[in-house]
Amino acid sequence: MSRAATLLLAVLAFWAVGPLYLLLKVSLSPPVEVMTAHPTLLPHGITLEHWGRLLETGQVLPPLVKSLLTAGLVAVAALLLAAPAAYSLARLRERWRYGILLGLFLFRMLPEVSIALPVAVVFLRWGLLDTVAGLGLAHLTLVLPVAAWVLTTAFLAIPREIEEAAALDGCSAWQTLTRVTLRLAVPGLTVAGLLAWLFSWEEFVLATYLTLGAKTMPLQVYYYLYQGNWFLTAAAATLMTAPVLLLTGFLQRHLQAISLAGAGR
Amino acid sequence: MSVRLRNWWLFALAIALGPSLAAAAPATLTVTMRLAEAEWQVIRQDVLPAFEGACGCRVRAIDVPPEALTQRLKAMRAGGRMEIDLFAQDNMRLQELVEAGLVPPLEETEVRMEPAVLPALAAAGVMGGRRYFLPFRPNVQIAYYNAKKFDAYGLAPPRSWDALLKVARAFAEKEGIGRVLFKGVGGAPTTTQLYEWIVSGGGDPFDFAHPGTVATFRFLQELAPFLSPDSRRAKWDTTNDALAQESAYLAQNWPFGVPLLVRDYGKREIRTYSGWAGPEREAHVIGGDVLGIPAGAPNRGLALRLIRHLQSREVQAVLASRLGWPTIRADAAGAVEPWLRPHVAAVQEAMGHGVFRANVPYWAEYERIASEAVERILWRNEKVPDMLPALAAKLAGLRQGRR
Amino acid sequence: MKARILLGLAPLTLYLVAFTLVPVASTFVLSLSAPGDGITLEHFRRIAGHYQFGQAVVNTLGITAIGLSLELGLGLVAALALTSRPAGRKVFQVLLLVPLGVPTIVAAAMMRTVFGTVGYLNEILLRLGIIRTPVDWVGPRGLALVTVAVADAWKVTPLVLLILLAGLGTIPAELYEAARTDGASRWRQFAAITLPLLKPALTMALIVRGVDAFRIFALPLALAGRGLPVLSTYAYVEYLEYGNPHTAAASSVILLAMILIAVGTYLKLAGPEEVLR
Repeated sequence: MSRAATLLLAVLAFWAVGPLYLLLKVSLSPPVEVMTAHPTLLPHGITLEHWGRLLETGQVLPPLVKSLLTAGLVAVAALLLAAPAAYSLARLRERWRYGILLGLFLFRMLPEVSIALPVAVVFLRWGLLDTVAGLGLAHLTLVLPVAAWVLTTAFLAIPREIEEAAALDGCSAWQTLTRVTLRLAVPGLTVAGLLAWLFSWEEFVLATYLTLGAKTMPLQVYYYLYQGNWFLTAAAATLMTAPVLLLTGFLQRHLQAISLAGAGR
Repeated sequence: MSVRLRNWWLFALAIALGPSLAAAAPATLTVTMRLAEAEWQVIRQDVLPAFEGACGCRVRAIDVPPEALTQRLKAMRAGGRMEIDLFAQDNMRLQELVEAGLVPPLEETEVRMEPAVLPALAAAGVMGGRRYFLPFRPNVQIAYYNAKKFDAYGLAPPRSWDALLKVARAFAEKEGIGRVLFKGVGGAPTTTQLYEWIVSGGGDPFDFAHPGTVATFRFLQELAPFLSPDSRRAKWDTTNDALAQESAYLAQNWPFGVPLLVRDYGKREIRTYSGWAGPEREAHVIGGDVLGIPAGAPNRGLALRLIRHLQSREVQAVLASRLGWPTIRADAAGAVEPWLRPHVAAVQEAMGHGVFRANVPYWAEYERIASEAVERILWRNEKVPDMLPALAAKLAGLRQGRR
Repeated sequence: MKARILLGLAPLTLYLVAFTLVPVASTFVLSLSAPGDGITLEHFRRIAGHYQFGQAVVNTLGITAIGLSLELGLGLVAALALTSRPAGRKVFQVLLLVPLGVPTIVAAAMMRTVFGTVGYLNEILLRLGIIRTPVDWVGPRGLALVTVAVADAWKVTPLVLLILLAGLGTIPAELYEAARTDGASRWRQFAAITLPLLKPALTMALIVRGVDAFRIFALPLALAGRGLPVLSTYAYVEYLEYGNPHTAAASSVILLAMILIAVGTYLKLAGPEEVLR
């Protein structure tokens, strides 16, 4: 059974990583290997010219920094707003919980193109164009429903008995919260924070409307895709994926706890 | 400890609120255009610095696609803050700006049109008798072909519809898949291509019952089986991809693809020429960009100065020699770089057969009808005599002002 | 206690009311407003008449159905495989989550180079001798729907995987032990324990993904152009290319209604209490 699982996972992993490998390969390939009816699958020649061109333009560092700042802000703010709400939701009666969680998704049910304009108008009035805070606020709106839902599930999974036991042991409400509940909810918090970060990192419809001169990374990649050449796009896109891999790898520890818990089979 | 903490928050707040807290700095002029990366490099390195030096100001040049400009300007107007001082916009998307009241007409005093500017191009910015925009760059599509593939089959780039059909058939038969591209994605790209085909077929683009127009659609139907399947998603960028990756050997596109294909991708076998003639004539729609100042622009005076700079002989010469752009002036000729020369020649020839798209108020609806016609003929294999009359009637209704 | 609950909910609710209701309401109003003041159904009537709108609805439903099946199926299989503690689990977990971090536009561009007529998939199949002429993966409508669904599934299956992993983590190990001592087979354990207890997680995955699946935008546009319209791209074209915010809003409202109906139907069928613990 374990061998079958390993084989399956290997195939899925290959499928998951394959296109990304192709992206990296394109960014390092001489044009002749890619711009042909029969592109090469394995790297034959390696060239750094595309990366060189990309970095030379000086147009990648500011968007990278802006995206990092915005995504970080969104992740933290999402947790700060959604966690207390989720904690409360976990203690509500089911129908209320059901209703509120679904209601949160109402905003997400509209295509971005429809909500971008009204949002942009309001933000422009408040002078939030081109700012990290403005973009972060806009992203938060789209991220909060998922964060709230994930965290609610996480808090629901913590049995009341543990909290009651802690109280019996003499912990104050605050201590119970920090020492017991939050610690048990760490995997859920990690997932919610990660999802919020990822969403903000790659969002580009709202970013289009809320930025003018200060592009975010997705906008820069989008620009190269339609107006640059494919190699610049591949390099910029790979650059954009790197922090994600680093972050996911770093947070592996906390995600581990999720699968460990179910590993008693 | 609490004082330090407070300062830290302020610092972070300042970073987050960023540019909106900027104190008095040299005037910054914000100009938007939509250009390819190669074109932006020339603008940023060779064109704008001279202006910045002359006016003692800073120019913030930003890329905004034509379809987004209208919405951005609307959002800024509704938000009470116009952040854009000057824009270069596709000359096929001007109607919506004027109709929405986003661009005020230019005063007589502001418009000192230089005598060297070609009159036909100067006329492009006039609507309803008032001038709103000033010419910046004319543009026209040329035909790209893969010389290696043509030579391999002993074919020559077609100069007539018959030759085009022969070439398309030859490639399709020899390779089992179409290699000639038609921009069939719908919307503006398709409508522009259709427009010039209809004119070259002797038809009236706005009358689908006109014999010349019907003949054009009939020709398109004949050609359909031999077109590349990538035509379905072919527009200005995917056409270049198809040419680069050799899924298409012949395609019409704007000249910006030349530096991309020949220089960036090293496809020296890709050559250009003006294109082919229909039964009536050779015709190519003249597109391009014009310059406009939105209502409420904070630096109107500077914007006008930048317009004059962009229209000057020196700048137009730079754009011609570095990018191969056709110029708006009769007196600006730059020494074109050698690798660019044959392509510039193709562009000049195509300009010689240039036609202007008529400025009708129902253009958006027209695009929809034209796109539907092309889609049904090319992808749904409907026969022209069956489906065209209904669309012709719709179009006729549109012309008479009924929507 | 009640006060604490309300306090916890307050920031979130206030924020969302401020930023959610306004755009939703304004879209609604826009879809029904006539020039001058007045309410009209004209915009809805208009888009119902467009031949592309009907196609957009069918395509959206098709991609959503195929995509969700793929994502939930593969996600579940991968989650189960991971929790069975195979060799190299940590590495697989990282690798399987990678597509989540690839921005949608990048994924769209990559999929174009994979599924294009001169793309990598055709190249591999040609070299293996499985096909002789390149396949147009986004030409024929049915095939195009599957291709787009697969490309979309590539990017979002990791999300489903994460949610299901979390769900699997909440199932107590004792249940499985008890079942094993009772002599239940693996399949029986799956059907009687895993599946029912996983319902809340599956529901969350379905709803979170479902809402986004209906809104799919970048992939169909990049892969198949306007030949494969979906509701979001339809609204986009109406808005940005034809400059008509009213019909764009109307199609958005229809999309919203479709999602609400779909979610509502699912919850009715699955039984709300069991499904949203």
